[in-house]
Amino acid sequence: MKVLLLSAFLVATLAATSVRAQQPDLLLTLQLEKAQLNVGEPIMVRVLIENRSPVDLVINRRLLVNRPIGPHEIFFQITGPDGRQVPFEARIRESFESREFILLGTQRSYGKLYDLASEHEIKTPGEYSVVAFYENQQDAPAALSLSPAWKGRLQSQAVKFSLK
Amino acid sequence: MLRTIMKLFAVIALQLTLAFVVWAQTKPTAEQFKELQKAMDDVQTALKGGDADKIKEAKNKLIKLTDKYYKIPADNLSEEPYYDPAVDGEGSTGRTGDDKKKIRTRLGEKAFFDPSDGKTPSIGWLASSKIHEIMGHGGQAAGGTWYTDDKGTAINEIEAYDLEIKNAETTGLSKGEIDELKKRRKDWYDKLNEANKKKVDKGDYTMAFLPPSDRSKQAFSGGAQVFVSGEVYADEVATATVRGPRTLDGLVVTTEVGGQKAETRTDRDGRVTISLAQAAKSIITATDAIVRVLDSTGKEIARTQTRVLPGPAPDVISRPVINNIPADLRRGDVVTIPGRSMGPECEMIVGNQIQETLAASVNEVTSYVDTPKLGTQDAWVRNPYGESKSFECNVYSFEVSAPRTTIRRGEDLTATAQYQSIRPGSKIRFKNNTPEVVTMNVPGAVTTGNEAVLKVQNPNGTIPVNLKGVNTGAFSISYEVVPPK
Repeated sequence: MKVLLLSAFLVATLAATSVRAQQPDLLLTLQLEKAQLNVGEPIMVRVLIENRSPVDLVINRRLLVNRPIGPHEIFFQITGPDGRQVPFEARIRESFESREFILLGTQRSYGKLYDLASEHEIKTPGEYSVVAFYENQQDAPAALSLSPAWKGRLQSQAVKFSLK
Repeated sequence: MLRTIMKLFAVIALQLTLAFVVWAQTKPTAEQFKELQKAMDDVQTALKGGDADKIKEAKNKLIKLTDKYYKIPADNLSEEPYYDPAVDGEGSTGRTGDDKKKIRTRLGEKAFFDPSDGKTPSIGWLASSKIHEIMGHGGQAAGGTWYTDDKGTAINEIEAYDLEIKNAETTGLSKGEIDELKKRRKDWYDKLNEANKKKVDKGDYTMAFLPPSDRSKQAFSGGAQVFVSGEVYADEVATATVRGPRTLDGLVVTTEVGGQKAETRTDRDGRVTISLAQAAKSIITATDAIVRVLDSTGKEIARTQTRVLPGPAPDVISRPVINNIPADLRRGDVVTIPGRSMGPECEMIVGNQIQETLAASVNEVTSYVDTPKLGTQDAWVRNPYGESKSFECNVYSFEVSAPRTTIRRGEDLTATAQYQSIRPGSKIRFKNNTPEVVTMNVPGAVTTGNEAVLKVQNPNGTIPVNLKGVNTGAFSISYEVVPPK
């Protein structure tokens, strides 16, 4: 049993390392518009992908927010005041295949503004913690004549807000 | 009488619902289609003008007309569907109300255009999007089949796309649009396991997961005990459960590590979330923590320990990974599944039954096994990010009962072991823990000292355990089931 747990720990550590190793190329940042909010108010966050590499990179610009099982480029891990994760509540009708890619110039950023309250049930007062993820596993359609896209998963820093 | 009337109403309501799902949408007449086309032209004009309010107005008018002429039902809606430029996909539907039986649908820019180029206006695609959201997901919300797990979500989406494909002629979709629907359906279908694919192939879109039972409350009533993961990270939030006391609400659970203490209270089901972030922030090596349960007077009623690993805990951002689930599970067992990426929301599923989680952390989940069905079934664990690999396991029952737990000197008494769905070849090891009170005789078993081992040949059966009092007093017999390798 101990051996099993140790190996699980090592694999998890390696996995975490591999995610971090991607970060010098692209950096995912999450910004909150307001850190103190009232129940029912939009909870606006800005997700930004910054190209920190010395070369231009192709990214999936669709930035579709969804649960990880469905078509998505972005998903959020929101931890509520009770320490439990706040689930993504909505159903999104969209293709798994994105046709929206762009060449992101070096030192340039691309992002979107999103209301966390629109598709997550955030109603209980208290402190919340949010982490955003960007994920892409596909290339741009041939018609766009772009080089292979950046593939992998990026994790943002955690941000906190409180709900009154 | 009242019951009969209510039953009649229920039957009529069910028939109306079914009729609604199958027949509600119709093809617009030529005249109506002209009106729809005019509304779509207005949308294009508004888009060229670039005025956001006018675009919204034109799109909402087209949405309304589509509902009207395709006869898309509104019963499942809490409000009129509307255009929302903030929606990334074609549609976003969420449940509303306290009972979550109604839905709110917002339609995005892409709902108005043929998906093959994203530019050609398509009234049919808009109508089809609404069938997907309102009749598909709305029907699931109203019918109680809106699932939140991965497999269920995939089944919900397949059902909604099947509805669209079935109505493609009515909505007038192009071949390219129908091919797109089929491709999306396949992408979701590929996420199902074989058992669910077979169900969906037969047109059965129900998952019918049964909610976790709370039979552990009864099974462990009496002496208090607390179930906590064997290992937790200092900065993770782990779940734990208290069982035993008659009242489970508001018990104080303290966790002490490295001289620091964290305190929290149970909810009415005896559940508690343990966060050691503060108490364990200074630990630099794995350290044992003492977990205590205190009653309302502050008296310790249960105690256990867990090993606290220095943080940071690995992020739980993907499906759980496990290497195994025991091939044999006894109904009523407490089983701990080690793995990684489990997290506090992790739960084990056996067949169609969600198991009650007693404790969960990043590295393990502990569940109380309870399934209505015995025999071979798939078992796996899941968290909000997905599901682990499935394992085939056999669930069996094994229960021992005796008329009483005391005996007089010279008295004969028979305890009975009843079992179902046990694997033939399993060995049952009975142990007489009180040889000073009783002698034990199990017919057909090999007896060595105070132990008797019997190999069972049939899946179902009864074993008599004959006891004879050698002294007056309380006796205790324990047993162990050892399935064949």
